[in-house]
Amino acid sequence: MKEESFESYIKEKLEQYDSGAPMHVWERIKKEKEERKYGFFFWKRYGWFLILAPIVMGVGYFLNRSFSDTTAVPVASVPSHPESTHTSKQVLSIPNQQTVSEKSVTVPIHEATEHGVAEPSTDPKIGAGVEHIASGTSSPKGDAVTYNPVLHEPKRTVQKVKPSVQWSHNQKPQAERQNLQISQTSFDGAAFKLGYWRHENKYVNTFQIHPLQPSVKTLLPGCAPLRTGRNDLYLEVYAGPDYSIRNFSSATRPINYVTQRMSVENNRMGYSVGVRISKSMGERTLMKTGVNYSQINEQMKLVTEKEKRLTQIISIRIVVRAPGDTLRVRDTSYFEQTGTNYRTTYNRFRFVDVPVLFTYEFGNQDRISFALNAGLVFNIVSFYKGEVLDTSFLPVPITTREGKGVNNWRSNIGYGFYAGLTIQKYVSPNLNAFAEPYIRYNVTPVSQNDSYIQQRYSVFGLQLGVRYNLFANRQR
Amino acid sequence: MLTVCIRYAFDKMEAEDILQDAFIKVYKNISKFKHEGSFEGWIRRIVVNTALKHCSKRKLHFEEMKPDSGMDRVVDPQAYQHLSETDLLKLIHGLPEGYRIVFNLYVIEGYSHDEIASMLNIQESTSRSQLVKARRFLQNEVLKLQKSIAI
Repeated sequence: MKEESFESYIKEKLEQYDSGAPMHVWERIKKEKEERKYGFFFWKRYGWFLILAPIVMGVGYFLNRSFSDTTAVPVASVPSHPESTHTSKQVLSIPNQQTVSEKSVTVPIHEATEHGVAEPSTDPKIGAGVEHIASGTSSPKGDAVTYNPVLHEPKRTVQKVKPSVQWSHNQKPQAERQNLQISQTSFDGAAFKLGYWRHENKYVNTFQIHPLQPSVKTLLPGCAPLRTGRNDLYLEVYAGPDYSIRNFSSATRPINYVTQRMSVENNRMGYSVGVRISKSMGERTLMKTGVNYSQINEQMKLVTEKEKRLTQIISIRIVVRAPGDTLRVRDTSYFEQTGTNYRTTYNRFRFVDVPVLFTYEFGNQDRISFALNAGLVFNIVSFYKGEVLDTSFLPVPITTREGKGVNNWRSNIGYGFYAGLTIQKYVSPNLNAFAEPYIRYNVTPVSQNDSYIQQRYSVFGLQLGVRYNLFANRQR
Repeated sequence: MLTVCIRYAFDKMEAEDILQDAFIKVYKNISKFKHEGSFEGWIRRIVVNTALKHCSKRKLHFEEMKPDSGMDRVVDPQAYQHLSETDLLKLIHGLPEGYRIVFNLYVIEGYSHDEIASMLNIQESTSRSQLVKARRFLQNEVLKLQKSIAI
């Protein structure tokens, strides 16, 4: 037996032989494919929510906390030194039954064996001191002291009062109230919670400011209002490169068409520019909106082999014959060329959007700070230019008309999700420079609903810009 | 493609598993197909590679050719020309696994010994020896069949 003939016989018999797979195999393949596709589909469609949800929740949490924090700002935490000779610049005094409060704060007092001097904060950020303290009753040695917070009109100036009292828990509460003095300060609608805790075997005074009801404010003459919360308005201008990711989806699963499209179309770097207004909502939270223009670029390189080109050549010559007359002879000829046609088209997908973003800022505002941005981007108008392949793989122009073709696109793609991280660099009191890498996920495809194929873009980008504080002069 | 899988697989169940894995790979990587060759050939390569991956999990054992291999017997073409595809598949499936894989890759898929050696991570000489042994095994089987038919 010749090896070649035997082997070629086997090859001939088996190379193209196909017994056909039973149906259950195809069912299994289909099922697994659907499962994988669903998993991928789920991630593609809802994965962004999984990314955005913690960001939004985080922003919401910090927003909430930021508002909550304004109700309990620690003012001072000053150890009490019993041997102190009352050198504090601002000493509390408690006017006896000076004002009436709507709130009362109960602060436990630990057992005190040493004298302590109450020293209110001199932190300039919070208005250089303490204005008033509540009147109330207190009981020494582990009992609770109940203070009725007193409302005061904000005031910038501080009246430094000579410290005159060592506040001891061994003293009678009545005596405390009579002897303690107060320095006026500048908190807008705030009262104090005074407490003690044991720190390194010494008793520590603590003060906390609590905002009080506006209805019980007491005006003090000559007290200018002080900034109590952030009230900034920023103008942001930015521009930067974008990289887009394209997703195809279709109910008919035109694999060949998608493959052909992907093989001839290449993504190119896009860009976005915009202007935003940022308004502070809290100490660290802002809301942003503005106008954003972005452009996604693609290059379509279509190579058509065996392209035929017919060229017509017309040659005219003048013949002078013997009698002297001239004859005009016109010859027409054709020749056909066969070659490869290279066609390059640049597609532009342009979007004008209005972002609505929530921002949480953190870090050192005077050096480098960060901000988390999350929100929605609403498309105002979309317009496109270029060519795509139709189902017969011929280039057709992109239009925004209705219909079922492959070149029918939306003039508005609805809304999308936006998440970004801003890195801000302090430049001047009014100006910050920032870089913001971001992700944008468009919910709606750029193609029409009844198009042959759905085409959706997600964008990763970097925005570089500056932020100018429009209210800076007003506040400072 | 199931037949391709059967030629490499231990049994039909494994062949179906190979086919399933291979087609999932095809769907997953359909975008990588560059239209440079035939689509069927591309799928076939994926199927073969998937089958080899499955086989490698079983730890293939390739036997080296013994010196006393003897001469090839001469078999009349009539002895195998009546064999159907199913019979041939059974014959091939009767080969030891190492022989079978090399025989499939070399004879049916058309890979060279060099390519087989790199695909299976073996020596080129091992591939050659496995083919010779497979060939001889099949010849013996065909002769046995011929004798049984004659009887």
